[in-house]
Order: sequence, then structure tokens, then C-alpha cells
Amino acid sequence: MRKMILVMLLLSIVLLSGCWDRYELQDLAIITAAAIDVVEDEQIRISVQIFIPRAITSGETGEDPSTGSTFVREGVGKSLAQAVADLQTNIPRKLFWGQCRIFIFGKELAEMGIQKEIDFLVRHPSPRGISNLYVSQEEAKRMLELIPPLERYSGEALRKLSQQEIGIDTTLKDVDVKLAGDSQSIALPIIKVLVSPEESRQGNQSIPVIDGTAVFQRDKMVGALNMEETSWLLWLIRTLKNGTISVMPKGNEEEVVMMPISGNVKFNPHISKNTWNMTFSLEVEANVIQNETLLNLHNENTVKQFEKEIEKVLKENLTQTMEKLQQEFHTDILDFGKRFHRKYPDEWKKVKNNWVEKYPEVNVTIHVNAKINKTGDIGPPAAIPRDWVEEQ
Amino acid sequence: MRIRRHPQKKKGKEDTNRVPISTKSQDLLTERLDANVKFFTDLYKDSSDIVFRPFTIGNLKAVVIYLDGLSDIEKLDELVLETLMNKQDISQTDIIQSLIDSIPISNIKKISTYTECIDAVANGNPILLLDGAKEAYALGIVKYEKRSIEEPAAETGIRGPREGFTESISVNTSLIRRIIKDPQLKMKTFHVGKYTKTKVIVSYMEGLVDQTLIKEIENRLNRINIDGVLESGYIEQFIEDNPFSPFPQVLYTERPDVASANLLEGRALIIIDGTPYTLIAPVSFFSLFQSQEDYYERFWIGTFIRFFRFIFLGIALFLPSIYVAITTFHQEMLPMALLLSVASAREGIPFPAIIEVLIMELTFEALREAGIRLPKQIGSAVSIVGALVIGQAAVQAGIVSAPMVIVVSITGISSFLVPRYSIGLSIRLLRFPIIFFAGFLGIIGVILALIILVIHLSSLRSFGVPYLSPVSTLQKNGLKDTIFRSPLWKLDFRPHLTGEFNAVRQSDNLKPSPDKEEG
Repeated sequence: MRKMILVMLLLSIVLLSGCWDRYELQDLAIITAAAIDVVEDEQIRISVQIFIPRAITSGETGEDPSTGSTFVREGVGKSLAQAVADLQTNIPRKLFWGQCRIFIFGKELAEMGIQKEIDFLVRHPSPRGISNLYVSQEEAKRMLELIPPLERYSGEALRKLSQQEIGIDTTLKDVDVKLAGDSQSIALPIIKVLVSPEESRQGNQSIPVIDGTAVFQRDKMVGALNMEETSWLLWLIRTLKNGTISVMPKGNEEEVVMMPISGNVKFNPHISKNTWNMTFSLEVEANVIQNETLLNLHNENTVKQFEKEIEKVLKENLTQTMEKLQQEFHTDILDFGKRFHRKYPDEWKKVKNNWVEKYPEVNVTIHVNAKINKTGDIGPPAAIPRDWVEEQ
Repeated sequence: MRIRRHPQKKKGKEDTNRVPISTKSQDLLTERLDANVKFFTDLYKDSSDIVFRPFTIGNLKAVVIYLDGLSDIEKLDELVLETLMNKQDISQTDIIQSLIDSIPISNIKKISTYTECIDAVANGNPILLLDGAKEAYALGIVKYEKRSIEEPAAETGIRGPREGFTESISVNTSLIRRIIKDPQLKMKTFHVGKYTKTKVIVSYMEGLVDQTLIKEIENRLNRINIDGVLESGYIEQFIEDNPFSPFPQVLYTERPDVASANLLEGRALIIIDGTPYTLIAPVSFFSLFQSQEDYYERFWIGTFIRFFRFIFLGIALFLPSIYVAITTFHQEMLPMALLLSVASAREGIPFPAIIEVLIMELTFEALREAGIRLPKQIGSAVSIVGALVIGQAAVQAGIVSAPMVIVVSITGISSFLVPRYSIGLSIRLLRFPIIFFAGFLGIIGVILALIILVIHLSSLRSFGVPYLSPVSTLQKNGLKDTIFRSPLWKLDFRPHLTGEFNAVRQSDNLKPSPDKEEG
């Protein structure tokens, strides 16, 4: 009898408490990307891209690339939470957020502020901290409707583009941390629909591509950097692996194109007599990938001159970009605030509350040290008679 | 009316009246031949295979009794009957002793009780009864049909001896004697089984084995009081430390080389007549994952294969459960691309994942069992049907999903990687409760099951030796031969079992290297 009771008790552990959060895959609507827009009456609209699982029969995936393997459904509400609740009423399966790594905000919403939406996403246990956030130039929902020719769905195309390091790469966690931190500024990549021949052929066949950077002061978008400015900005954030940098040597009308292979930025905050200074030291190593001039790159002096040129080009452009961030947008996306806070905690306390006013007054000095590592397999320009080559 | 009755329990110890031989059998033989013969004819009444052969030596009456088919009749005729019947001069004083001395057989035993006579006859030794003699003589001319020595069927290998134990215990002991020539190799005989009187030999290396272990084995063997021993499993189940554990606590082998290796490591063998399987005790969890070829091939191979086995042990135990847990509880753990593939495959499958797993696993187990039990001629039919049931056909029918087929197949293959069949059975059995844990509690359930398993394994002992040794109750030297298989010239110490003595196996510095003087 006692054994029976024991068995019953053990069984009840399994039968009464078990399986409460069990969901079969057939009962889940797998969300691959989500877009958040603001619609009339300041209502929030969430659109989600949901994967359509199709039974695999005899080895074929059964996915027709022209119709896509996803569909878009939306929910509207006063807040994001209500919109999501509304969305759930339109979908027979349980929404599964665990793999949704793409959140796109409409530009209109971004300009109004995204703090409330971020709160929902961070509070909800399912969306991942490593999810990528984007700002869409047009209606965010439009990005989900695109059917990429290569990837299974447009969210995947976007995620892979982000991995290419061509734009800024900001995750949900970054946003949460930075907005709560000292600098109170974030930058998100801006995306737009790629206008390509495919689209003209078939309504939705295109992909979203990165088209600059949206800069936020607190949670409100205050402006945008175009692609070129973004690439300069990236120099100060991390190594730019896929970009190129071209210089025009003195007295030449053609360019030498180089690709950076490694870079290192050092920030040196410094306060002297009430003037706040920030010094960047940028170390760059680059390889020559194309030589349009007639110069022989095996010449040491030529290379030295190029290095000078790179330094000049970088310095000019970085200064311009910094000026834009400081004077035009007043956004501290390079975390000056945090850096000053660390080095000068006492001074920081005084300016902490009006950092937005203080920030544009920080003097920025940029030092660049460039080095050309390899000039490629050949020195002089290719396919040109020897005696045309300028040895300088 | 009571439905359940326990007649055996009621009777208790009085049950001994079921012993077949009457109390009279303890009596001594009498001097009168006809009285002795009458006893045996009564005893073997209705037994058609008993043979009584009365004859006379001069005027002395004599009888030979034997069981047909157990003794060498040719030798009996030529060496015993012919020699004795041709004796004419029987007027000597010490007639009986001289008669016996004249029989040209090396193994003649003088016995004086009925019991001994019965045993002798049952074992194939004809007994010679002489009129006027108080003793009978058991003639050691046993001969019965037996299987020849063949390659072990269940423990095959590429490299290594191809001899396997047979059903005959004398052949088995001789196979071990041929490997270990030292007289320190001891063989102690026991008889187990009231009716079968099966010969059981405990074999060990004196000086290498802890004597308390031998005493313990003897005690446990002497406790056994059953009708018969038909296979080593009967003994195994009566001498286990924890009879409720799913894990085998005694190893069995049908290879003389494996048996000898264990003897040399200080373990004991329990050799049982009538079965090619010899028991080895004590064992540890890790010795269940060793095969003889780990040692015969070079140590890189041995180590690699052992790693492999443990990885696949994990797969065989946990893969179906982890699949269930992840696809029904923790979908976010799957990478996106895999999740979408699995979701696509599972679309339209009518069963929840746990039911699907159970269907497939049970089908697989059924197929495996059918493959063993069926006559060999029908075996191929099973594999054809099996390929359909666990395969593309089942997927196309929309009953199970393709990933599930892969999971079950990998699990099946993994469970075949275990070199010892007995632990393979445990793994097959344990897989099912773990699947239930996973189905109800997800990964937490799997981890819970793992914790329970580890706790159970840590508490197990085999003849007093911790089951997880040398890992739990850590012994550094033992670790060289667990998951790793160190080079043989590094294995300088025997495994630490119950005893502490005689640990050194070989001299150190055995690593082969060029002669220093030459170099």
C-alpha cells in the first residue's frame, strides 16, 4: 500500500506539473522577422513575417521560390503589447518569438521614440538580446513583404547583410544598455528596398539593403548618415573589413585603391582647465588592391607618400563626420560620456545631467597612423609598357 | 475465496523433502552385491538409459553400472571387461585390490557411499561393484558428445585468438590453463542446483587476487539453493550486489583471452558447466566499455575507439529524449535553419513528438528482438520489412517525420557500438524512461534523469568494488585504462580492486627505445 502511494505521488509530479509549456512544432507560428510601425491615431502596428512550413515530400522542400515561404500578418493596438495580443487573435498557432532576430522600426515611429517598444521586447522572455534592430526608410511592413531571390525570407537576407559589416550593427541588448548608460545615444542601420531588375519583373522580388545610419538621441531618431558617412563612422567603431579607401597622389588624376586589413582606435579623453578633449589615435594597415596611376609601388618613397595621403583623407573625413554627430545631431554614439565617466568620475558627476549640452563642446583631435602592408603581386601598374612607369 | 496463495512460503524450510534422493543414499555400500544392485535398480527404475552389466571374474560376481551415452563404452569393453573377464587366477588373498590394479585406466576412484556412486554414474563414470567388496570403483572414462571449439559468436574481433569457450567445462578450464601456465592459477569446484548439480568452478590467480573476494564469491555461491542452473545468468542473478539495478554487475565473456586478462588483473572467474559464458567479477562501469582489441591494437586506436564509444553511449541514451525535449519545449535552442527544416518535416504529422519517438523506438526494438528470435531462414524477411517500417515508407505515409527516422537510426547504430551486450541491453531499457522524462519536463527532465543515473551508478558496487572506480573514488593509476587506453608499457599497475597488495604489474621503463649505448 505504501509503495502504491509512493508511485502515485511520483506519477503526480509528472502528470500534474509536467508539460505545461510544451508546444509541438505544428502548433507554433515561427516568426522570422517583425516590423513595428505607427499608424493613424498613434496606434502601434506590429507586422510579423511567419514561416510557412510545408511538408517535405520525397526529398523536395516544396517551397516555391516565386511565392516565398513566408507570409505577413499584422496586429494593431495602443501599445506594442496590445498590438501583439491583437496579432495573436489573427493567428491560429501560438506565436513563437524565440528565433525572431530581426526587428524593424518604421522611420515615423523611430522619430517619435522607441523606448516603450524596447521595454516590451526586453521584458518579454522570448526575443533574443542579440536580435538586430533596424530603421526602415519607408513603412517597415514593406520590408517583410519582399521575397528575396536567394534567401528563404527577407529577414534572413537582412541578417546576412548585417554580418557583412557594411553598416552599423546594433542589437536589442546594445540599445537597452546604451540608452540606460552615460551616452544615451544609439545608432541603428537604416534599410531600404533595393531597386533592382528583379523587382520590375516580379512585384515583390527584392531584398532590403542597408542604406546608412539612423542616429538617435535618447530614444528618438534625430537624423541620418548616408552610406559614405556611415563607412567613416565605422572606422571609429570597429575594423572595416569590406570597405575600400582610395587616395589620389599629388599630381595624379587617377586613384590608388586600398583595402584596410586591420585597424585599431584608441580613445583618449582628457580634461584640462574646463576644456574637454577627446583624442582618437587610429592605426590602419591596408593592402593595395588596385593601382590606376602609372606609379611603381615597389618604390619605398611612393608607398610612404601613399601612407601620408591615407592619413590625410581619413583625418579630413573623420573630422567631418564627427562634426556632424556633435554639432548637427548632438548624439554621442561613440560613447564619449562613458569614457569621460571612467577617467574623470568626479567631473562627470557635474555634467552628467546636461551632457547633451556639454557634448558638442568637446574638442576632438584625430591622429591617424597608416601603413601599407602589401602592394599585391606586382609593383608597377599592370599591362603597361615598362618605360611608361613613373619611378618618381 | 482467496485468489493469491503462497504455498511455497507457507511450507518454508520444510520444503527440503523435495530432495530427490532418499536419506538412505547417505548410507555406506554393503558387502553384498545383490543388495547394492537392488538399490540401484530401484533408484533407476523406469530409466531406460541405465545399463547394468553383470559378469564374473572366475567365480567372483561383479556388475558395471553406467548411463548410456555418457561413458566411453569401447574403453569399458576393452580395458575393463576384457581384462577382468580374462582373469582366471583369483585365489590370491588381496584379490580385490589386485584386480583393480590390473585395470589399465589412470583415473579410478574408490567410493563407499551410495551418493558418491550416483554422482559418479551421473557424471559418466561407470561404477564397478564387486561381490564382497565394501567399496565401489568409479572408472574415469567419461565420454560424451560435445561441440568443438569454435570462434566466439557474440564477441567477434579482427585481431586476437579465435578460440571460444564451449559448453564443456573441462574444455573451458583447459583453454585457460593453456594460456596461464603458472600453478598459481587455482580452480575451486562447487556444485549448484539440486537437480542439475551443475559444476561451477571459481578460478583465480593466487597472489594477485584478494582472498576476501574469493571468500565472498564462495559465500554467495553456497547460498544458492535452486533446482537447476541452465546458464551463467542463473548464477549471475543470485550473486549480484544490487539485483534491482538495470546495470550488469558481473561481466560475461566467451573468450579465453578476455577471461585470462581478467584473471591477471586480479579478478575472479566463475566458470559454469553447460554454457560457453564465463562470469567475471568484480567489474566496473568502464570495463563494460572495453573490448579485447583495445589492447591488441596500438594505443592510439584503442583510445580513439574508447572515446568514440562513450560519445555514442551518450547518443544512444539521450538523443531521442533531447530531440523530444528541444522540439517540444526549447525550440529556440535550434539554429533557425534547422528549426525551419524540422518544422517543415513535422508539418502534418499526426502525433506529438513523444508519441512519435515511442512508436519508432518500440518498432526498432521489436525488429531487433524479432531478428534475434526468428529462425535464420526468415531473418531476411524481417530486415526487408524493417527497412520499410523505419524508413522512407513511414515518412511518405505521413506517420513519422524524416528527422525522427534519422534520430532513431543514429540511436540504434550508437547502441550497437557498445562492446558488451549486457550493458547494451541496459541502455536500451533506460532510454524509455528518459524519453518520458524529456516528454514531460523537457531538458530539465533529461538532466534530472542524468542526475538520477549518476547517483545510482555511484552507489552501485560489484563485489564491494565501487562501480564507477577508478573515476569515483579516484585512483590516478587506474585512470590510464578507462576512457584512455595508455600504451601497454605505461600500464605498470594492476587495477585497484578490493585488495591493496601486489599492485605492480610490470617493470617500469618498458617503453621501447634504441639502446642507449648504441645511440
